[in-house]
Amino acid sequence: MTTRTIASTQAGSTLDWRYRFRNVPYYAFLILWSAITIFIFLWLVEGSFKTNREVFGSAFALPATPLEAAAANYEKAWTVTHMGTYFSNSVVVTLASVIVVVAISAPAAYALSRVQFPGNTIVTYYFIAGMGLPFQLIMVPLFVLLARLHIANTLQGLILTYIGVSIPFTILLLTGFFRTLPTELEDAAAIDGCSEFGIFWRVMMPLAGPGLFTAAIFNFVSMWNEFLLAMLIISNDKLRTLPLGIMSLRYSMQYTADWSGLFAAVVIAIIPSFLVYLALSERVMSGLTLGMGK
Amino acid sequence: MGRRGRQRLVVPFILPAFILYSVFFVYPAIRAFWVSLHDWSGFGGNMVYIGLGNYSEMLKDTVFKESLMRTLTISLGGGIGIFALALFFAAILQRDLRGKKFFRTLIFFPMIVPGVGLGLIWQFMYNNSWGPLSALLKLVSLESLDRVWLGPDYIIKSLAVAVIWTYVGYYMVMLMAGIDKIPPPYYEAAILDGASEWKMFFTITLPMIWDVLVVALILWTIGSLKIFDLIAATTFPAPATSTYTLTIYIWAEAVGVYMPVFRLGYATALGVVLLLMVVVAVGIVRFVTRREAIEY
Amino acid sequence: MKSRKFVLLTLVIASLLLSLVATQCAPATKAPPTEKPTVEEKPTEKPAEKVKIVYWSMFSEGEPLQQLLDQATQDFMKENPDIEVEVNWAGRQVLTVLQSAIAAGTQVDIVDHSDDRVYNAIVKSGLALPLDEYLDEKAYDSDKAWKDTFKPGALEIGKADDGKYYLIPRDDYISAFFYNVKMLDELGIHPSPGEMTWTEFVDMLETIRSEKPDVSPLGADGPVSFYNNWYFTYLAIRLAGKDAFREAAYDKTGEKWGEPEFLQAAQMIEEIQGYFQKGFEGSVWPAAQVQWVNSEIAMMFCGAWLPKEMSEQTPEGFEISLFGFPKVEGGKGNEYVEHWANTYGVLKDCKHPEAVARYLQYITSKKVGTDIASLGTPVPLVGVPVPPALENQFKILETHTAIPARAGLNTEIPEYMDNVFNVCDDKLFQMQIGPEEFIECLKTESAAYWAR
Repeated sequence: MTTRTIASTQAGSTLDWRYRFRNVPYYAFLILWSAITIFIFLWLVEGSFKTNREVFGSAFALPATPLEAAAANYEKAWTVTHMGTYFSNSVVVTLASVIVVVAISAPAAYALSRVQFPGNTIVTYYFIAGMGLPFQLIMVPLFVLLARLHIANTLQGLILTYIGVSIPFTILLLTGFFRTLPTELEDAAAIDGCSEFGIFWRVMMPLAGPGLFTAAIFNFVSMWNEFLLAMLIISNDKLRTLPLGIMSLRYSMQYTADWSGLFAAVVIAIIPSFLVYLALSERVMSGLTLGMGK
Repeated sequence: MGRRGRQRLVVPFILPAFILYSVFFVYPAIRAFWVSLHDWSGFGGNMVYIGLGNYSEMLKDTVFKESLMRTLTISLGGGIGIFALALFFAAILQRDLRGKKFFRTLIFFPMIVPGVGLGLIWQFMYNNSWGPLSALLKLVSLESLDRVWLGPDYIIKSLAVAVIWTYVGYYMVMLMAGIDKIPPPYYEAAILDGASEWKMFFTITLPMIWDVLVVALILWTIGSLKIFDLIAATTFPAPATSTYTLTIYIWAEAVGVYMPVFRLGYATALGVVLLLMVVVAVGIVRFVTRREAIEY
Repeated sequence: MKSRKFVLLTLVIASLLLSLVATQCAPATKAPPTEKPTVEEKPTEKPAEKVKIVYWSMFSEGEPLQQLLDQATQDFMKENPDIEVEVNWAGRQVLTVLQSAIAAGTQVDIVDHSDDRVYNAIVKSGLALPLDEYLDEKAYDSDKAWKDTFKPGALEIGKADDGKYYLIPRDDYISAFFYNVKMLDELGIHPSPGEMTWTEFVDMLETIRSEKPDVSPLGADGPVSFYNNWYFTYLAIRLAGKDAFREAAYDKTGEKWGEPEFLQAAQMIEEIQGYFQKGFEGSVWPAAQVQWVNSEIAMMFCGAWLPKEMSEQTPEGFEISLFGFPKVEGGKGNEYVEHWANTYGVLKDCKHPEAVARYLQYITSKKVGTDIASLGTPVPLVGVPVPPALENQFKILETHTAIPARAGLNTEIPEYMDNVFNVCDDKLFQMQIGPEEFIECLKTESAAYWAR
C-alpha cells in the first residue's frame, strides 16, 4: 500500500515552526479519540476486577482487592457461561457463511456486470433491493421455513440464513468492483482460445482478489456481530453464537445484579476477537484498500 | 465482439446465489407482507384478515410517529457526525503522521465488538451514579454540565454519540480505500502549483472519491434506519416508550419482551413501512448526490 | 503466480469442507444436555413406552433457579423412568422464540414466564390447556388434591375469564414498600404490615427527613415506567376503587380520567415527590436500589423480588421488611394488593398431558418449593417456609383482596399501558408536568389511542 506523504513545501524552510508543528492539531485529535476508546475498554476490564459493591462505588476508585475479585468474577463467568462454546459457534458460522456467500456471489456478480443478457438489469435490482429489508420483518416466516426444512435451531440453518441475507450487499459490492476491471485481458484470453469459464477462473478471479477480500471482511464484521436472526433461529444454548451468549448473560446476571461478573463475561467474549483483530488488522486494512472499487 | 459463449455462463453463475437468496430471504419477505395484512398475535392460527387495517391504524398512532422521528434523528445526526469524522480521519491519516496503523486499528476496533456488548458498556458510561462520564464532569468541577444521559430528554443524543463512536471506523476505512486509489500525479501537480493541503482535499480528493462516498452514504442510510442491537442493549432491560426508535417499537409490539404485547401483524406492517422508508431514503440520497462519474 | 493461486484455492476448499464438517458435527454433539443423564440412568430393560415432554424455560443456564430446577428435573426423571423431560433453557426471550416454534409445529408442552406474559402469549390466543381436571388430582407428595397444596388465592392468578385454570404459579410476588428495618427501628417506627394510613405514612416520611437529614425517606429510579406507575395506580385504586380505575382506562373518550379522585391521586404524588432522593427523576436503574441497601434511602416501593435481587450487594446485617401500600382514609379501594406470579402454562396440543401434569405436580411439590424458597424466593405453597424479608407478604395477602398487576390492565390491555398510561405517568412522576396536565394527558392520549 502506498503511504502517501504530502509534505507541503509551502511553509518555506523545513525548520519553520509552522512546518514542525503542522501536524500537532491532528495528532491531538487522534490521541484524544484513541484515549477515549482505550479508556472505555480499560474501564470495562477494570470493572471485571471489582466486586459488585465497588462497581457501585465511585467510578474512578481503583479496585481494593483486584486479584481476588477478578478471580471470583472470571471463574464464575467462565464456568457458569459457555463462552468457549459460543465463540467457536460464532467462528464456524461466520467463516462458513462468509466463504460461501463470496463464493457464490462472485460468479453471479461477474455475470451480471460483464454479460449482456435480457433481464440483466432486472435481476441485478432483484438482488440489490433486498438490502433494505429489516430482519424483524421476516422473523416468523423464516423460522417456519427453516423448521419445514428441518434446520431450525441448527447452525446450518443459521448459516444458510446469513448467506441469504448477505447476498444483496455482496453482489452490490462485487458488481461495482467488477465494473472497474479492464476488459482487455479477457478479450485477449478469448482470442487465445480460452473457454469462457477459463476466462472467468484464470483471468478474472486473480484480478478480483482484492474485491473478494473486501467483501469477505465486511461480511465477516456484520455476521460476527449479528444478533437478531441468531436469537430467533437458535434456542439451544449449546448452539448460541457470541452475541446471543452475551445477551442471555445479561438477562441472567442482570437479574441477580451480578454486574462485575457480567463485565468479566463480556471481557471474555471480546478478548479472542480482539487478539485475532490485532494479529490480522494490518493485512486486513491493506487488503481492503486494494479492494474498494468505484 | 463474438463472445456468444458467455451467455451459457449466465445461468449456472447466477443460479446458486439466486436460489439461496430467493428461498431464505425473498420468500419469507413475501410471506411477511402477507402477515402484515392480518391482525395476529403471532401465536396460533387465528389470523384475521384486515387488509390495510394495520396501515391505517399506523397513521393515527402517535408512538409510531414519534419513534419514526427519533429514528430519523439518529440517522441524520449520526450520519453527519460519522461522515464528518470519517472524512476527517481518512484525510489526516494520509499525512505523514507516525503511528497511523495504530490509530486506524483503534478507530475501527468498536466494529468488531458485538452491539450487545457495546450496549452494556455505554449503559454504564452514561450512568449518572457510577458512570465515568458523570464522575469525570464532577472531577473537573463541571458538574453543572451533567445531565440524565439516559433519560427521555437526552437519550437520543446519547445514543447518537454511541452510534457515531461505533461506526465511524467502518466508513473511515471505506473512504480511505477510495482515497488510496487516487493516482499520485494529481497531487504532485497540485503541490507544484502551490496548493495547500486542505485545498487539495476539497478540489482533488473529495471529487475523486465521490462514488465511494455515495456508496458509503447509501450503506449508512440503510444501516442507520435498521440499527437495533446497540440501542436495545443500551436501554436494556426496557426502554421507556418515550425513547423508542422504529426498530425498537417494532420489537416491542411483536414479541412481548417489554410489556406483554404480542401483535405480530401490526409489527410486521411497521416493518414494511420501515422498508419503504429505506427505499425512499436511498432514492433521495442517490438523487441528491448525482453527478457525472469521473474517469481516471 | 500459479502455485499461489493453487494454494489459495486449496485453502478455500479446505476451509469450506472444514466448516461443513464442523456444522454437521456440531448439532449432533451439542444436543440438549438433559438427554445425556436419561441415557445413563435408563434401566436395563426399556419400559413399555417412554413419553417425552418438552419444557421451554425462561431461565438461562447458570442462574441459581435454573440449576435448582435442572436438578429437580433430573430427580423427577429418576423417580419416573417412563417420562423424559427435555428442558430448553431459552432465557427471558423464551416467548419470542416460542412464536416461531409454534408456527413451525415444534413440540413444546410447557412454558413459563410472568403470568401476564404467558396469558397474553398462549391463553389469550386459545393455545393453552385448561388444567382443572389435573388440579383435582392428588398432589405429588401428599393425599390432598393438588389444588389444595397452594396457598389460598394463589391459583386465582392463573384463572382466565372462562373460569378455568390455565396457569400454575411457581413463585408469587406482591408489590410493597421495602424498608430498612434497623433504620426505622432507631427512629422508633414499626410500620404495620397492612394497616398503615396515608397520613401516618406521610408523617413517617417527615420524621425520617427531619431526624436523618442525609437519608432520603423514599427512593425510586424515575425512568423505569414499570416501577414508577405503581404510585399512581395504587393511589387511584385506593381513592376511586378498582372498578373505577379500570373503567377509566377502558373509556374510549378518556373522559373518565377527569373524575376528581384521579386528580387527587396525582396531587398526592406531587406531595411526596420531595421525599425522594435527589435526582430520582433521572436515576438510572438500579441506582436507587443500591443506595437503599447502602442505607442512603430508607424505603422503596418495589416487587417482592427486591431482596433476592439485591442479595449480592446487601451488606452484612442489613435487615429488610415490607409493608403494603398505605390505605387512604375515605377511599373506596383500600382492601387491594397486587399479586402476580411466574407461572407455568401448558400448550393445548401437548400429546401427553398426564405426564405434563405429573411433572408440574412434582415441580410444585413441597420439597421443590422449599428448595426454591431457600433461594429467597416467595413460594405460594402451603407449608413452605417464607424468606424472612418477605414474612409480611403472606400476612398482607391474608387480609387483603388480591388483584393482578395494575388491576389486570397489564394483562388485558398492555399496549394501552405502554403507549398511553406509562407515557403520561412518566411525565408526572419525573416532575415534567403537574397533576392537571397529567389528567389532560391521560384524557387526550386515551381518546387518541382508542380511536385507532
